[in-house]
Amino acid sequence: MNSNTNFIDFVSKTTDKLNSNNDIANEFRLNNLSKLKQIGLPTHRKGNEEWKYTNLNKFTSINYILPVVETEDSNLKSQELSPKEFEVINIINGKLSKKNNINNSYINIKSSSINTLTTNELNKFNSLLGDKNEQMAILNSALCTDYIFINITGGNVKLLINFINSNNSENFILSNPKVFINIDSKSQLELIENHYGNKNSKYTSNNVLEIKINKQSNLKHYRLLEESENAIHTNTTRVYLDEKSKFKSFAFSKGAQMARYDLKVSMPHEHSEVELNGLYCTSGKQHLDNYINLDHIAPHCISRINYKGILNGESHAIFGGTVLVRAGAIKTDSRQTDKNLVLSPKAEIDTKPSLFIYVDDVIAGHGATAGNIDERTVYYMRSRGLDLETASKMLISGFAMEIIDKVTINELNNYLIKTYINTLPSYKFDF
Amino acid sequence: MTNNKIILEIKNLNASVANTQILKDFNLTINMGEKHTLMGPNGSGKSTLANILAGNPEYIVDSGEINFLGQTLLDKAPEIRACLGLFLAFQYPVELPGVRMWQFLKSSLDSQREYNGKDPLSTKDFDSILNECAEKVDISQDFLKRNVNEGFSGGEKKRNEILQLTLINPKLAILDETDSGLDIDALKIVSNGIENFSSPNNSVLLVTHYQRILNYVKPDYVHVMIDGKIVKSGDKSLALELEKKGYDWLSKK
Repeated sequence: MNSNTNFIDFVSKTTDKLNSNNDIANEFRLNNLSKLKQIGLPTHRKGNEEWKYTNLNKFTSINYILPVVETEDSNLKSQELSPKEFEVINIINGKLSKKNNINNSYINIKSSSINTLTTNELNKFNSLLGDKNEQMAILNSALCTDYIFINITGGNVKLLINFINSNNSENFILSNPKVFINIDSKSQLELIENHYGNKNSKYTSNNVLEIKINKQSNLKHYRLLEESENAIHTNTTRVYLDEKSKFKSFAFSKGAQMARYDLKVSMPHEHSEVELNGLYCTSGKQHLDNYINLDHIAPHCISRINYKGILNGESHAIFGGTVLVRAGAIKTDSRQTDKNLVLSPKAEIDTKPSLFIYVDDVIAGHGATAGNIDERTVYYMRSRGLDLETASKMLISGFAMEIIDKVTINELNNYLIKTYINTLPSYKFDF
Repeated sequence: MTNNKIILEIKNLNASVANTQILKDFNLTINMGEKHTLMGPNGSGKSTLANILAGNPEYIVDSGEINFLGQTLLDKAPEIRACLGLFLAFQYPVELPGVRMWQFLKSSLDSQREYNGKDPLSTKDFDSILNECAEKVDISQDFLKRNVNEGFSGGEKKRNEILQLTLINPKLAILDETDSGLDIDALKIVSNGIENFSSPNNSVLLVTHYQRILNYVKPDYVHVMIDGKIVKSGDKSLALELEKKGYDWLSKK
């Protein structure tokens, strides 16, 4: 409770400091601050199913400073991931880098600071933030200093956004990146959302992404969580699908000491399709929480959720998936699975796929598994001459490859094999 | 065919599964170049024997001895037995989700080569050997790109076992009811695979319920196993006799 009060104090003081001549931004920030004071940050108190397994004390008990304004940092980790034909945008500690160089005319980028933000721009976010109880997004709005707007106006666009966190000081910084992406009708976007920071760098990054996929458009979204091992990462991503649009997402998570990903997908128009894939690999004392909220509102929509986890050490992973099929959503076709390999006796998985159906004429299913490596399977492989270590590694990487194999960008595929598969642990058998 | 070199010698083997004794003073000797068939009713211990030979950790050997090419076998891990030249075609081949056929087969072969002091095969050499073997057992290129046994039909899984037998080319092939559940075409492919593999320099132990496969695979010896031990041995005419009379006349003795 104490750390929470101190933290709200910090937010309050910071909000004051951010005061500018722009009343629109001032008012928005203060509204969010008062909402936050009223409802507080999420707690894992009994009854709060969405935050049951994630305690934000770690987040709120830190004495933060806001990131310094000077963001162009020459010590940044060199960019390992640079797929061909992708335009690259760097967002450093929540601010759009001045060095971005975009050649594709279908991409429009604009960053508005709290000094220049207009009502029109602000409404782009407001229109999608329907839920008043999104505390992490409210916190972001109270502290955010830069609003980044990306508009895809057509064509077949490939875009890599690096969310870079850079901090050389001993104090933890708290950054609040906020990005709005609009994909115009009949456009295709392949988006890589890459979160990373310098090794050992101390930061908390509280992100908000809002994505609007307009009629007959497609988004393929790859999210990479590669934050530094000291980092805390929270992310609220809201995706809105218009008629006949498609959203295919991949969430690859392995970084950060603690992370929470809130993916909220809204399907209010007919014939839209959603496929959400995820792979989380945890080790040490990591805590990674994936929470999906999928809302079927209109008829004739399809959704698939396919997440997998590999847990090691004393790590704790959480999968929460809530699929809501509303009364009007006839002919919905929805499946959800979460499968986990728990490689260490001290690792813990809490997996909870849920399904709420308020209409008869639908196909829907959900399931979850958690277990370690099957001994019969290993015996089969050993009988072909493979030793225990090789056999277990092959099975663990096979488990992960089922998700990685679906990635169609060659360079990203290779990068994932290098960073996920080649670093996977082997299983310690007790026989 | 026989050249009198002993490849496998099982002496007074007693074994149990979940505290129930399954093998009772079991004895069997197989020479190089010989094909043996082990027949018997359900629950007689045939699959237990096959699994004990391959080193399945779920099976407990209470007493007895197994020698394979002059070495004791029971103290060796399953992968070492494989590297020494022992191969078991599984009754129920296991699915390996996410593990590609190519990767699995190449790693298996390389691992056995390494144990025997040979360099791993180049991708090119391996591919040409694999393609040749796949053709022999009527397995398509498409099949080799899939995950091991995942989504395979029963017949495809058994053919995959024969592909591995052909590729690995062991000294002793133990086939655990590889013929059960096969239609006539698959049975012919599997039988041809076994006959093609068989040579004066290796041996076969074919475990089966039915005489049917013996229309295609010609054994030198047929043994009947009942209640954990061999009760009668003979040549392939014994199998025909069993087909007519069943197992009852032997178990009543």
